Amino acid sequence: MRRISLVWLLVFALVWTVLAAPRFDAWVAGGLAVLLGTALHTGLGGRQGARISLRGLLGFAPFFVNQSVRGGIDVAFRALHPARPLDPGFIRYRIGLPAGPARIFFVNCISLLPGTFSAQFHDRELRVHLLTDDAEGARKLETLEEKVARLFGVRLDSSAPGGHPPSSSSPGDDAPSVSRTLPGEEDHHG
Amino acid sequence: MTGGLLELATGGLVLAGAFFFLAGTAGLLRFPDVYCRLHALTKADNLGLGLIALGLALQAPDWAARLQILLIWLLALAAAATVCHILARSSLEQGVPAAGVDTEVPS
Repeated sequence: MRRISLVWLLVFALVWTVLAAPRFDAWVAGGLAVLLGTALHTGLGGRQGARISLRGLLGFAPFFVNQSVRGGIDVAFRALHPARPLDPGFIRYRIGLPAGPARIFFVNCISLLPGTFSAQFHDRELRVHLLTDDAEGARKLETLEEKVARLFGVRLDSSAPGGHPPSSSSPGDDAPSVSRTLPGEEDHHG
Repeated sequence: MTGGLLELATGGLVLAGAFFFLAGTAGLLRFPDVYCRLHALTKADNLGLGLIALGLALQAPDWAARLQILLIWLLALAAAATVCHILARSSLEQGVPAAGVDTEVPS
């Protein structure tokens, strides 16, 4: 545990070195930030290691860039269009990734890809806001989750693939089973 | 000649990035509720800043500077995702109503 903290201390110091260039006066603020960052990282339970393969990263990066460009153009079009065509809504999604870095990475990626963001999550239950609430949005989440699983070399929990139907979705539907939820409908977890 | 091409590419990429920031601002002003506005606000960091960073990386003097630009973009992304999530969660917890949902939120 102490060893991993040391590794992260070095990682944060390296990040600061790249950002500020190796200038000594920059280390007055930087050194403090590095120490605080390491303490916070350890305190928040960042001890679980994550193994990302280079091959996984080479597969994930083009996907992320491609999705960002396509989604970004779509959102820009909707923002500038005179009629402002939107059909926003929340969906629930059941995360198949195991707890830890892969799950956090997935939840954050959802927020970075245009058209979706993670509004709330607790354990495996994730609530996502969609700018255009359609079946494609849910499928995009499943694709992203599979890519993240491959990136981290972890397996999805196959007992609950993709979205899960809490109550109202029709059985026998091949589309990812997600349901519209209202804000405040479920209990709020911290 | 390659210098001229490089500058043209930088100009195009930075302009494209600025366009996405502009579109993000339009969305921030025009979208109906806080949740939709968060989309407009945070996504400019991804594509807009990404394009500007890419354009500037072409002009960077060495690989250390390119690495620095890449790192700045990644840190901005991490901050955007975190801030977006925190704002959305606290809006939900306070019962801020969402557009496109028929029922009013019980507070």
